[in-house]
Amino acid sequence: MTVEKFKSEVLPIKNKLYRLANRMLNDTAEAEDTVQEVFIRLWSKKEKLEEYRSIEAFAMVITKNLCLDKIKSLRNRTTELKNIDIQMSENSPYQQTKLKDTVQKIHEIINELPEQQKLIIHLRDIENCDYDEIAEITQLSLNTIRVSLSRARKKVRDTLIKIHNYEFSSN
Amino acid sequence: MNFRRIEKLLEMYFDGNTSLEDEKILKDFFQGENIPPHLASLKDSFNYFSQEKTKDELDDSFDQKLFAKINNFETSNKLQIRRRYIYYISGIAASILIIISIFTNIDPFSSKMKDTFNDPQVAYEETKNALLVVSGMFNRGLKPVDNITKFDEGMDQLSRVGSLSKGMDEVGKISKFYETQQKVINN
Repeated sequence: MTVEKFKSEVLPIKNKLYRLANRMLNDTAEAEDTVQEVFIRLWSKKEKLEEYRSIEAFAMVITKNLCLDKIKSLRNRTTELKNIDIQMSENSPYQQTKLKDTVQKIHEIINELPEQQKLIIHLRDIENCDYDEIAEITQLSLNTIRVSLSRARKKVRDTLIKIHNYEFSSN
Repeated sequence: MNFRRIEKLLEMYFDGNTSLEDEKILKDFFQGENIPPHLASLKDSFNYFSQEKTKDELDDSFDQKLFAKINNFETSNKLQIRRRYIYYISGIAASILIIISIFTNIDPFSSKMKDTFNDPQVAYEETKNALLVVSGMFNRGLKPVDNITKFDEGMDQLSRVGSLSKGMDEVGKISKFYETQQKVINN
């Protein structure tokens, strides 16, 4: 595969990979680094790349795995820091004003979901992947995916309704 | 707008049973106006999903950085391959050399001298002549080095500077004269 072909066929998925990485890591700089790493890995396999049925799905799998690795190592390194972060976010007025923004609110609700649900709702409702693709990326059975997706969607709905009612009653 | 159909689709949606086409219908519905109040909170989440996908956040600077890295990766890879190639070739060459020397009985480390004279007396004279020529040339080479003795002589002359310092000591006694002069004036 030549550089030109790589640019025209592989590079355009960068934003899709970036959205996934950013969703999983919740850190734009880390997400950008991850996507760069994914492309370098893809380039180092450029001879075999055309054998894959879907380069995009393959790239998504690499992205997901790299993100999971990073999450693991970050968790080991900064458990204490994270606890402090959570305590602060409950109290800081900045966070509360930010929460008023609906988009931000939904963003946070999804980011609070368990890893697997977050990944699946992202792939389905934002990236509109079909179930086979999701199965390929997550390595989960179709049934598990449907169950996780249903739980994630209901959780988002219920949380939004709760916030909605709270705002309604407090007004 | 067929609200009953939307309600039905929503029910399927939350059970994870909608197709991508169904979900497209829902998204389009929530993009429109006239959404009943009890579905208002869902409008936000469906719109969020649609918006998120249109975000293109990695720009050209990302591409530039990436391809700079890829170029780096390529050149270091080529160097590594070339280096490995050289190692292989030199390894093969060395082993071929060893094998050849084993099979042809050539020992590259001791080349035997051959006698070129038959009469030992003649050989002795020739050797002596050769050594004389060498020693003559050696002496000629040493001559310019003799000039170093002149440098030595110069150094001897410099040692007389020592007597200057003796003289200076004597001059130092003048200060005593100066001191006594001061005392006289003070008194």
